[in-house]
Amino acid sequence: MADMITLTIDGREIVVPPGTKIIEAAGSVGIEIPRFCYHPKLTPVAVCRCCLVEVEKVPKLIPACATPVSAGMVVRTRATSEKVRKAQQGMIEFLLINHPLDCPVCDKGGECPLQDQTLAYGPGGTRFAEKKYHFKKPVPLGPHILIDRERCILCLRCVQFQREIARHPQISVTYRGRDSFIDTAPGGTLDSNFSGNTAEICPVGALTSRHYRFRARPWEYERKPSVCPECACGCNVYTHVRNGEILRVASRENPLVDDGWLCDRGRFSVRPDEPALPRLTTPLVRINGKLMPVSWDGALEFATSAFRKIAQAPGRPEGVVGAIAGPSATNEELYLLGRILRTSYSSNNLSFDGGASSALRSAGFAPVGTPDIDWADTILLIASDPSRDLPILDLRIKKTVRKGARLAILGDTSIELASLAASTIQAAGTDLARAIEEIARNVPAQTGQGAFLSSGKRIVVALGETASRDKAVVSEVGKLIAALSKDGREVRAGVFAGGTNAAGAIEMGFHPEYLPGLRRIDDVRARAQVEAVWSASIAAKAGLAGSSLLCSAAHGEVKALYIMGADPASRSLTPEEREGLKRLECLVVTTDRMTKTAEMAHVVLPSAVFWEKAGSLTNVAGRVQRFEAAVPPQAGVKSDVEILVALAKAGCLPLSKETPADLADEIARLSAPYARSFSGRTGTPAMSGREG
Amino acid sequence: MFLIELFRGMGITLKHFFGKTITIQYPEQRRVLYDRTRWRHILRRHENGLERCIGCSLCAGSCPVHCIRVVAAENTDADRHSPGERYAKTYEINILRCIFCGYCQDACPTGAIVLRKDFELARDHRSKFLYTKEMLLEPWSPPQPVPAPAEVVAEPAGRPSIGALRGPLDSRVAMFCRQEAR
Repeated sequence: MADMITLTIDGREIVVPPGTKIIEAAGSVGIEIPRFCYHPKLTPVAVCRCCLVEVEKVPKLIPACATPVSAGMVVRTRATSEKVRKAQQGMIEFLLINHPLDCPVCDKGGECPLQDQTLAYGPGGTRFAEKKYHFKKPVPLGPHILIDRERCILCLRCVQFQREIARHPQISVTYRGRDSFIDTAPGGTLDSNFSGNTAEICPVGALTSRHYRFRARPWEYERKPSVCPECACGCNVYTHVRNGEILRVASRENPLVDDGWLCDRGRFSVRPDEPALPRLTTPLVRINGKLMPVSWDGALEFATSAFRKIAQAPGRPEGVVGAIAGPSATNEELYLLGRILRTSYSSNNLSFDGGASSALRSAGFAPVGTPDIDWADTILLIASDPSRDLPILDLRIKKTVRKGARLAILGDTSIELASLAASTIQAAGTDLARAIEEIARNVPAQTGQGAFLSSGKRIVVALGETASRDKAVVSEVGKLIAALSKDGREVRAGVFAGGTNAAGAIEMGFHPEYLPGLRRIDDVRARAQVEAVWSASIAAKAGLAGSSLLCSAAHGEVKALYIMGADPASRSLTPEEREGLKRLECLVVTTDRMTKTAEMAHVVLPSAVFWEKAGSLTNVAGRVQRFEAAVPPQAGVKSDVEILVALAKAGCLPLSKETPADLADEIARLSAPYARSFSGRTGTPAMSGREG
Repeated sequence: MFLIELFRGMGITLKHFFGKTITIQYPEQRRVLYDRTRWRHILRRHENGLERCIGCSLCAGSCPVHCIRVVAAENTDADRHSPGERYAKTYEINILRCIFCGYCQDACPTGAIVLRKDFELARDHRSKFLYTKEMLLEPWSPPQPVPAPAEVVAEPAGRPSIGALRGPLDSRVAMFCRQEAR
């Protein structure tokens, strides 16, 4: 690159792009400069004054975090400058003046940047013999975060994060000078959905999580990489596990998915301070109207024989059994359940309880997520509220708008992102399709939102989940994409479905109209490909899902259901849907604890919770992320894959491949994105669903 | 020729045979252990009875054989175990695994865990060697009130003593505030 800058740090010459700060340039060659307020994702504020370095021809020491490099600069850090060394020691001494001797009782102890950098760069002792300031501690700032103001060094990372990145400026510095402290606005709370990140980036133990308080020390637990199962963002996480118990979830930065941020829903899904919900530990079978504990063999035998009796009734009717899977079902579970239902029971009634909208694969649509938001210069959200469904994507949109992208909103304009949008149109329900049609017409006419959109070159269109079920809307969006895809504009359109593995469900064929690998069920050649791998024939008629599946059960057409990790009875169902659940001849439910649906079942099988399973999830961008189990399964409980393999064997399904590795091989033969994820490491494949 | 050497050797043996023995007749006689001898752990308290242990887990962290288990919890004013916010709800030492190195004693910031002189720790079952907090915590009872000596002169109210005027700033300020309130 022609315009790189050459500078000298501690006598070493290095070359970096223009705009790089000195602290980053030094870091790139392994020179560590102490810092507390600097964070790579935040605008530098240079308040802590610990990163001071000496630059030739500059009379005073300057902060390395805020100063961009310039050509020919000669920088000296502590390695080559006594002045810098004394300055760093002095600044750290200043930071420690009012800092309490809390290390033994502070949650940050052991993972504290202040501890580490004091040891590395600080003075050996302190000269401060006066009384330190005192505050009431700890004070809850919100539902999750506590603040200990005595420990706060006023680096302002938390204030900046909330203001710049989360855009929920709920905390700030109160008073000034010696009397400053961090507080919420009078009467306000820190209830932002991203508040947990402030505790993670706080360089001291001032901001801590209420749920993790006093729970463990950093040297006691193992860090296991995994993926968050709470929504389709698929943020990469570390689970901190001690003796088979998860203590907390921490971020694991993946620039292609999250930016090292987590939303509170995902981060605080693990709450060791709250009593655990009672788990189901034995299989139950309904005998004489009551659910009784039985052995695994007994329960599996009961379930298989009931299903077989129904499927092999005279006439061998198709589609008399069905399956419903919950939103965080893994790819392997969905694939296996789909295969069993299609090959053993001739049924395409596969219903994913979390937004696997088939619009995801309509013309012009593909998975859209973080990489696409980064790429875009114009974003159109249609009836979608990412702050609720996909919070980390919401942060990403905020970031890309901060960098100059333009946002347009069509639909509910009271959503949070509307304040950042340059163009908003309120439309709901039946008006939505008409509004989209009008925009499509405005594109060539260069008026209204159509003009706004057509002035971009890289456009991302994201459709909300409910709207994606409206065929009229989907068709109009298709036309809008076509209208925009001219004159050198590139359009990427997708569905922002919130159900964790919605994209995975479609890809694994857990859909009434699709087979694995996005093959349509009515495509003879595609069906033949799958039949070849499965060595069985597949019914050609599309199945039922969602409400239609339950209503058909109400009419006695579907007689048996296998519900895996879902709880439809707890939602508000119509009387007909509820009747459908009641009327079933055989309802098999796998769940980790008793739910309303399990109470209605004939067979209840205890299954593992997410952290006890290994497998893969596909996020909203189509990225397949593999993960291993963080904790061993509870005694007596099996993972859903194990249950399905046992059921398949009991039902004499020709499953020659049973171990997770074999299963993965088979899925890879049918699904290209899945095959690409086969690097064996968690969450690290470089490709989104878009590439190829 | 070597008979002389033989008798000399035997002579030394005989001298010691009838001389002073150094055997200490345990258990009637006990060896005096040196002050810093490291045997059975105890968890100490402050003078006012509050536990010294604040549940910081530094002892567990420094233990070379990982024989200490600490689970911390929050003090409330209603249920207070130690001064400050934090105390050890669970504190266990597996004495069988312990090597009595004293690293935990060195690491402890409050002087809570110490190794004392009791070495007679034999038991008959392995389970009896997991020492819980109840077993480790130093027993304590409130001190008896001391009767006041008769010849103390009562100070006139409202005037601080000369000694108090030279005390730390806080108490001087506090006195000033008390006078103000009057």
